Amino acid sequence: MLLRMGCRLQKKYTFWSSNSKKIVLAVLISMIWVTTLTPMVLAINTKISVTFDPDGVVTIDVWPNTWAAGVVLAGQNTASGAADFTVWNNGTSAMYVQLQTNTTSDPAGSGMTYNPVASPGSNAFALNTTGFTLNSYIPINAYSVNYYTLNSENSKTFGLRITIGSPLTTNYTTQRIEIRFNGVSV
Amino acid sequence: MQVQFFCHYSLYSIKEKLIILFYYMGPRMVIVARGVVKKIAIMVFIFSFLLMHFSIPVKSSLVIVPGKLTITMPEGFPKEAITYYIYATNPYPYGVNASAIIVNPPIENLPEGYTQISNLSWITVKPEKIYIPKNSTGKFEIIIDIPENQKPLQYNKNWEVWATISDDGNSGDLEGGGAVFKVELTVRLLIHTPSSDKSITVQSSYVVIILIVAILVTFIIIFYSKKSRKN
Repeated sequence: MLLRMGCRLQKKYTFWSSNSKKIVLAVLISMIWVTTLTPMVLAINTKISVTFDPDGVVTIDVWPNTWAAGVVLAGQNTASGAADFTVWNNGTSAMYVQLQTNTTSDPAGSGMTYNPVASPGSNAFALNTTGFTLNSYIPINAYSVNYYTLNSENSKTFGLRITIGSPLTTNYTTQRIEIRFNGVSV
Repeated sequence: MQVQFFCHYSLYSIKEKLIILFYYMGPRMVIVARGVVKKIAIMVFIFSFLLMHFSIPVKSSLVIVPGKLTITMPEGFPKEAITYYIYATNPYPYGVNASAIIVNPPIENLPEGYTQISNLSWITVKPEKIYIPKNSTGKFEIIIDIPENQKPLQYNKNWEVWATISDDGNSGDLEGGGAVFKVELTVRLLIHTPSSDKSITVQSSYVVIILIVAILVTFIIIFYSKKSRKN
């Protein structure tokens, strides 16, 4: 009787001891899996790849970089030579060359108002290009219009015309206008 | 009443200066050449050297790399800000101040399928102004940082944004009045937002794998336990 009971107890003990080992082993394997996969999941969560595709080199030049228009009377205009100025595209791709100018001829004050139309009106002036982009007037917020497509390593000559409105109620003497040439890759 | 635009005499280019030099020096060189060829040659060399080093180059402005940058986010919006450097090389024989601004391109200029960015403040440039010494390269850092609460609303977007760089190196200088020209160079930033948040999908798939593995391990334990009982 005692022998039978002892055998059963021994069987039970060996059963549990062998199962305990398996459970412990399974837990350990699971932990290894979890410790291996968790950092991967976290890495995916924190590091997301972004693709950058840079293209081309941009550089343009304009020369001469000033225009002395001389004396212009009210209600009259004066123009440079049609090919007095040159713009170069020294970049590696075709570019839009866009022009824009300021709202006044003198940022410090007492400047004339810029009005890009054929008859600018009282105390105003207008600038337009000749031979560059269909003789169009240079806009204030350029970019959208008045641009010229210039291929890489190419140049284009152009001229400028200034028109002074009428009448002038102030004695404008020396006025300065800034014309910006913006090069944008096509 | 009149407006005066004072005259300004621009500097000649190197090429023009060399042409002038040889135009005037050429005939004289022929007369004197027999005896003093070497001396004249040395003089021409010295003049050329001085002209090359003490004249203002004509065709030069900042050189910007890259001119166009396409940014794609195929795996979803990254948690951190996206950054990229734009390099500006100064070819002038003197230092220049360069500045960069972020602007929206005009709608008329946008390629098909592109729009202006929803909020221009999501893209910044640092620093806005830099000093670039002669024959050196400076860099501007473009930072794209979309707020977390906006990301779910910005899938499947194609934006174009401009980073416009200007400098004071080639700006015309007039003593009096007239027109002065300024060169600006624009870097086109083409930004493609993700089609959906794929990172969540991938993450979920990994969680599913872990669960399957755990289930399998449990199943194996039970299977072996039963087998041991039978034995």
